[in-house]
Amino acid sequence: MFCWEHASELAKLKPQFDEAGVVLAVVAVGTPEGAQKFADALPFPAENLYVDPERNAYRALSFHGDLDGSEGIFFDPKVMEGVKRLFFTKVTGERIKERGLMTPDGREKMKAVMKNFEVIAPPQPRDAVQQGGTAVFKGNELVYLRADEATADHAPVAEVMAAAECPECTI
Amino acid sequence: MSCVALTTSLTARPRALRAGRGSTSRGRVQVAPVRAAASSAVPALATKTNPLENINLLDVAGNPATPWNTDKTVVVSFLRNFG
Repeated sequence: MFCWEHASELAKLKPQFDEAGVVLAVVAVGTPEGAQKFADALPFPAENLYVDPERNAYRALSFHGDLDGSEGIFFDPKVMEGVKRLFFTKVTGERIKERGLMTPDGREKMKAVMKNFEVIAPPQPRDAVQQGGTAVFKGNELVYLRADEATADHAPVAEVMAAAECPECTI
Repeated sequence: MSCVALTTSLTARPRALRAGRGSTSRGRVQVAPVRAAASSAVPALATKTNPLENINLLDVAGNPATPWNTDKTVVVSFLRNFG
């Protein structure tokens, strides 16, 4: 559900991105059908939405939680770390607090974002522990890369905008 | 297991956990600690060739897509999944 909140924040920025000539792309581990459901439900502009069913881009950028299926189910270090990043880190709580999501206003905001929420499962169960991140490209160069540490951890918008040289873009 | 070894294992492992080295009471699993430590403020900022050059995504219609294949600046946000 924090992915929904993050995507809704990015959707608000889209007009400013467009004006600055910056392309916004939001990618998720999923299927095209899932992406269309997500775009309709949030709502989010479908033309800016992509999927990476095999997680190839996530792997290439070394994002956390890349399970390839060779792991054991129980007590495998990679599985344990993935589950930890998913549910049991201080980072998640800190980010929720930083974004004010536990305040009355924050709860109202989440309620609005989650109005049409439905679980859209990723292709494989092991995809559930995959974490995301943010990248900024200029031409063919990667100029900014940040891997999310855990659930609810996302790149600060101001930092991303600075990398994209769009400092006037603010939520 | 000798008494000495037992004493050592009962005291040393919790210390290892407190030190963030991460192990279960049976010492079989090593999980790296996940820390908040300035993670939001320390991006891996480095200009380098696009590692996604040969990777295709799919758009919502299921067509291959490479949103970074443009001369413009592209911000790509990778979500975990759709919910």
